[in-house]
Amino acid sequence: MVLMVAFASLVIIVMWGVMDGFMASMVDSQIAVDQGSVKIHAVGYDEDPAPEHGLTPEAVAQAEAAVASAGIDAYAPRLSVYGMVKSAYGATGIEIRGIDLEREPKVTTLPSQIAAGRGLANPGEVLLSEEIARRLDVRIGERVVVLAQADSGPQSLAVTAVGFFGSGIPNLDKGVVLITLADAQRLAASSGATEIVISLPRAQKAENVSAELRAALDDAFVVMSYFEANPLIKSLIEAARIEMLPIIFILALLAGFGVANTVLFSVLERTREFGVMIAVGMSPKRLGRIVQLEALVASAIGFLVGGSVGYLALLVLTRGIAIGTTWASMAGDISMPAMLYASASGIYLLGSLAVVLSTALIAAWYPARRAAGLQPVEAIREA
Amino acid sequence: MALLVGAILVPALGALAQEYEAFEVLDRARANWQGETFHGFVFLEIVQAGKTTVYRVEVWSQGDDYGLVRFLLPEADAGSGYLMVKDKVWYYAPAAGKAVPLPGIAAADSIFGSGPALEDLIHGTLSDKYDATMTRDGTDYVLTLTPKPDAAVVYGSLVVRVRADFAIVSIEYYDQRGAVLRTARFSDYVDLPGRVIPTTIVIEEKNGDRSVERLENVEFGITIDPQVFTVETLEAAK
Repeated sequence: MVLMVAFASLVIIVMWGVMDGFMASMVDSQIAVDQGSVKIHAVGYDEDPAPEHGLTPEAVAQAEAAVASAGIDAYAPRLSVYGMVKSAYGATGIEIRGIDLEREPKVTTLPSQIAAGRGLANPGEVLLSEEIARRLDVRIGERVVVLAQADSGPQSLAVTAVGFFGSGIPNLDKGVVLITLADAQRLAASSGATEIVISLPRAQKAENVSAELRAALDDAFVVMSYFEANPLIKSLIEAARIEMLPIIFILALLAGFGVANTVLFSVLERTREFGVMIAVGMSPKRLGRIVQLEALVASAIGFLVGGSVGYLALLVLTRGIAIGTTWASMAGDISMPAMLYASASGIYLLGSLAVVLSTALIAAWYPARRAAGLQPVEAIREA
Repeated sequence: MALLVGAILVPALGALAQEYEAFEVLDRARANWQGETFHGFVFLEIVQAGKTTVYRVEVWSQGDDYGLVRFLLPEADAGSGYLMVKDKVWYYAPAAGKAVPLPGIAAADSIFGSGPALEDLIHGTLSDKYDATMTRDGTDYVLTLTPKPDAAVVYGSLVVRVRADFAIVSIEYYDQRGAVLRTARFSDYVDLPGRVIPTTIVIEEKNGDRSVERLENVEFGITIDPQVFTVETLEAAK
């Protein structure tokens, strides 16, 4: 019984911590590396993400004023344009992202995740991912050409690769190059931005901030938190949590069978002993409680063993699990990072304890009832 | 098809205007290759990753701004084609029944999966992007074209060899590490009124891909009906 309860406790804790941690890793990584907590676009940009549907310089100023008024200091404008990057050895379609060199590092970590070379420092420079650099056979110091379709016609720009980044997020590593905001504006023949990206401290709820900014800005703006902009991710996380419930139920059932079987066997084995206890004056109700208490204690011991091992395993897994680029690529649509981290929280211990103990109580109910219903004379004879 | 050659070579032309000798050589080379108008057929044999595909295309071009390329072979692509009008590009396939506008940057991508890009087939785009120096090798002119500092060019340099009669002999494309990336060799020259042009161009890539282009029934300086460079004409192919 102890072993079964220990096993169930261990699996529940590890599964819960790993799932929660993985989901949090995925979201945190997206927010910290790339997406930010909240974004501001112009109306219509989501339907056709082209610079001509972006924010004008006046709209950028208006949005930034609203963000500053909300007491937020980590925000940056970006201008993204979809086009091509060409080297002497090949070309590929790509998002060309222009960033503000001073402000973007306060918002996302992508510009500083340098795997080789250095980060962007001046106009005329480009930061490629290691993967794109490998695919196009580009070395640091070499010139590449970025091309985009502007309203005024095709535009091209020569930029020098000064560094390669490695985000661990397949969508970024395969599909984004970074240039300065000024260069992106030249390329897109636009003086505005396509979005304002905001980073918030963990304690600040993004949905509250996005609601506040929506109220402060007029209908020409769209303000969305990460989850508001990515409802699929939110649904996936909720679905994963719901999918975990049947597994917890099955584990509880398994532990419950173990408890019920063991306690019932124990009650049957001690029929005479219980008969004597009732004969000398113990009330049946109290006898039933003793049986349930035994089940609880045994389950608690099992939980102590399984829970401890499970929590230790979680602590190890919080250091990170490399899921490999293949898995990460397979999950590319939701941009799963190549490294995931489990989460370790006391809530998992408490939750698991609650499941185990309530299961033990329910499972011990029948054996306890049977013990409480014994007739002393028959019980003593039965032995 | 001032085509390929025009395409590849014309680049050089304008670029070199600052250098008097280079200017003269390139101007004459341009005169050979890029009449104001061009019409002809191009037979292309493209070897990519060991697989050979044969194309035959008909090309009309007028200056740098107008071009129409229609596929005649292979059968599967027959009737499809590209239209370029200034910065706009359309692609048409008979199966689709309607021309599809493409971003103008599509002109910079290879239309065969390897080998020339659309803009290569229709006009040269690099003419103002290079500085040039020139030496003599026997009777040949050897022009070294180096990208200007801000030029949107991925090559390290181009070396263009031009005969004394201003027909192009070869173009070598160097990467930024000084290695030859691609070589275009011109041969089978024919005398046409006012120009000498090679009718065969062999382009060899560093990765082993290769394309052979043969010009057939070429005409320069002809009058092309403006209606040719319209979506209606592009879609008229069956």
